[in-house]
Amino acid sequence: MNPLANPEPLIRRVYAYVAYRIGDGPDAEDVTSAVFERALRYQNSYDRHKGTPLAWLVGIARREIDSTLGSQLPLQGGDEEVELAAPGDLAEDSVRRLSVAAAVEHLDQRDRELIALRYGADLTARQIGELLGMQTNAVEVALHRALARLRATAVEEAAPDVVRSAPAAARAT
Amino acid sequence: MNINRRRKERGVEQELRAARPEPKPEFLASLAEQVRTESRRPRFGARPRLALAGALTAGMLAAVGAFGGFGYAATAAKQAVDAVSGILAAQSDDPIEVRMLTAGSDQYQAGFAWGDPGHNHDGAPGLSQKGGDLAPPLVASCTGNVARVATRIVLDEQADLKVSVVGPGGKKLVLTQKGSSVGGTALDGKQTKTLTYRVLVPRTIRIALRIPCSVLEDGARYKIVIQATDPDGNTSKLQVPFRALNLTA
Repeated sequence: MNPLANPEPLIRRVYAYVAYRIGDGPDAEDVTSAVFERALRYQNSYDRHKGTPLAWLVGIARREIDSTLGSQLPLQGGDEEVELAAPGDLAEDSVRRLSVAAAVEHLDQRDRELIALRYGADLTARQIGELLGMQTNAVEVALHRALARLRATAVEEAAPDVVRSAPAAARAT
Repeated sequence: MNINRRRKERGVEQELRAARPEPKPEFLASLAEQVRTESRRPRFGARPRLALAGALTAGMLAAVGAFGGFGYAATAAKQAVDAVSGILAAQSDDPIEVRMLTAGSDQYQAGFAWGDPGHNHDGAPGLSQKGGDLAPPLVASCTGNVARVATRIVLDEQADLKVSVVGPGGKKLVLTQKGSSVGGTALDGKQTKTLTYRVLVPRTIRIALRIPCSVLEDGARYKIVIQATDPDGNTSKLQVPFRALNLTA
């Protein structure tokens, strides 16, 4: 069985996982390419009894990210200033993408890993447990806590906008 | 669990799924095509390689044994194994595996003095793009007034790097040093046409360049030119093409 026979959905999931871990952009593309390069080299060692092709690839991606993070390279260009358009110039979908992505970046590595595995790679709690060596229940509890922290972070991020928009809303009434 | 709390959690989950980062279409198409092509290609695993080495060794052993004593043949066999393994290793498609080091890794450290024989070899430096043919096509797009393009190269000995970007007419473009980085070291200073960097620790090196959008032309093809000169003066050159797109984003 060729685990890479239908690569598009696998690339999408691996990219989403990597981007949730290290940020969306060229670095995520670099790491995703490195994952598939390694997967191609070792595709003969893939064993379908041990898991799905996606779980196998995510395992490779985790090691790739760990070695990259371990090298302490400035993954998003270090002190580069990020020039973003004002939220008002973007479509609603892009604003949502931006706010959630920004909130995820504020989480610690452990929470970010769980969020990336569950909502980036779309793995089940059981598959995550197998990858991380945890019980399924423990994964669910850890995810629940990570989501709570993410929600709190997202509320903090959104707070300045609420304050700014308050006078306008007051004028309208 | 509180119903409201569960509802809020579901909202966050939905947002996370909806906001899932997506690869750029050109990156997705290119990587998918390369994976599809490469995964169909038959590959030599370690076992067939060893079997081939063994068969060739046996053949040479028999031939040498026919013309001399077994002691002589045994020596010849060892040399044959070394030679065959060397050939097979050289033909292997495995890239050089070098661990990436920290940002300060090219500052002096014991055993990595410039010209140290342990980190240099005869001949020109081995210089290649990380990922080879599988490396994603590079695209530079503008964010604000500056475009960013990044690649990784693999260098197998100490060398002085000269990095520049050449346009369609062969002219070097100016580069913005602030925000550019080589080997994990963030650069700073005036705009320049050539960045120089001394690599003391041979490894995979990330090069991220910032180019003023005003010097780029939408749709045009450019090259990152990397020249590596080792302590003996041997030189290798690598060109990494990229395209400028969406400059007026």
